[in-house]
Amino acid sequence: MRWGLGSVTAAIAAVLGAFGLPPIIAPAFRHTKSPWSPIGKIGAPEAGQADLALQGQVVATTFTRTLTDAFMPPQAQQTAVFVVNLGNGQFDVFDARCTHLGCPVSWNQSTNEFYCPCHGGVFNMQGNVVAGPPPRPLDRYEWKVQDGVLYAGGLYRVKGES
Amino acid sequence: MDAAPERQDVAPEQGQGWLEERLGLRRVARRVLDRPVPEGVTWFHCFGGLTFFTFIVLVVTGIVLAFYYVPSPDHARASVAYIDSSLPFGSLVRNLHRWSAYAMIVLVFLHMVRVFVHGAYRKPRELSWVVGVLMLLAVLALGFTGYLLPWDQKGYWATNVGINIAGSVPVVGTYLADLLRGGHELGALTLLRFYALHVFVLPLLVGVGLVAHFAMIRKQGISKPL
Ligand code: HEM
Ligand code: FES
Repeated sequence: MRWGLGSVTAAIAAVLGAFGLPPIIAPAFRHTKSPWSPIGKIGAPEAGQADLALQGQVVATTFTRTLTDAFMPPQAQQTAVFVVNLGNGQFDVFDARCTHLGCPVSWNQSTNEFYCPCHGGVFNMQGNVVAGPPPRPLDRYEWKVQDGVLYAGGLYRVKGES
Repeated sequence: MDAAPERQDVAPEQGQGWLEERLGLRRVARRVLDRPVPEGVTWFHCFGGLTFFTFIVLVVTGIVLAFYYVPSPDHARASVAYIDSSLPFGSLVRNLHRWSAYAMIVLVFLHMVRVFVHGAYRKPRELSWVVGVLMLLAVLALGFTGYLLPWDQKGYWATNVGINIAGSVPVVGTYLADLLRGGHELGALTLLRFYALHVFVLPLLVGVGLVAHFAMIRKQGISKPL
């Protein structure tokens, strides 16, 4: 009986745990696909829009994605990015959040560097870490050009390099 | 037929009021509350009790807030604004909850420092210390999860940064962060699981810890001051 009570308790705990934990953990492993969303037309920008045809320059802009957050109705969400037109139809689309702890970085035209206000992280125009605590270069969005329009796709990380 | 034996186990006590006559609560209260304390107990010994007091205030005001708060991105802010501005005494309850939370963090640290300075964690009270540390973690987690619930800019970004700190843990960091967020982006599921942790899981953990903490203090008494 001494032995029995303990193992019955353990069995109940094990069964409850087996059914209780998976639904709590599961969302952490679910990957949602990001839809391709237009950032803007390349060239001849409309008033108030960023000029994506400018080459070799960092352009701060936002694009709008329609995302579904769990049980919420699909919602348009603004995402801040930095676009660099590298020429030859090549682009870099950087996520604006610092890879240290996620503060928004800003582009400094005079020093040609991205600055993070939180702990002094500095990135160069290629997104690589120049100074401060960020552990990896700026994250990037997949991009594609279709009918003269630049699109952003999924967010991805690049490994540290210097 | 056997005659029912006369019951003798409850001694009739006369002239003590209706309840007392039946239940003898005074004796129970004396047994529970009248404990010998060592000589030379100081005001610093009150920090544990004060921490417990703030915990009670937090539980009561938290229950009231739970009658009105909605843990969903599209209603959290509005429901908090309603508590603040439209609900009679709502802002009082909300501010009591908020300030008690600050006070509890301060007091629990003062209590810990008191115990440390007095060396009260030494044998045989090691387990009181260990349970105390676990409660400390739960209390800090309560502060962290509660901060997000108003779903305002400050809470949103503080949580963003806090989860990113968890994400910087070697090897398991990214999983830990995704687990806390309930996904790769901070959103509805984050708010909901912080809510569940804040109102169910963590208070329960602290409650269980307190039972153990107090049981040990009763069993062992407070340590002799230095
Ligand atoms: C959740 C918050 C806590 C509450 C409500 C609480 C409450 C109490 C109370 C009422 C006492 C009686 C003596 C006194 O007040 O000093 C006590 C004793 C004690 N507490 Fe806590 N406590 C908490 C957290 C902690 C923490 C974080 C630690 C250490 C890491 C700790 C370690 C101890 C120890 C070792 C004793 C025995 C002290 C002695 O015998 O002199 N407690 N606690
Ligand atoms: S968040 Fe950018 S440097 Fe810390």
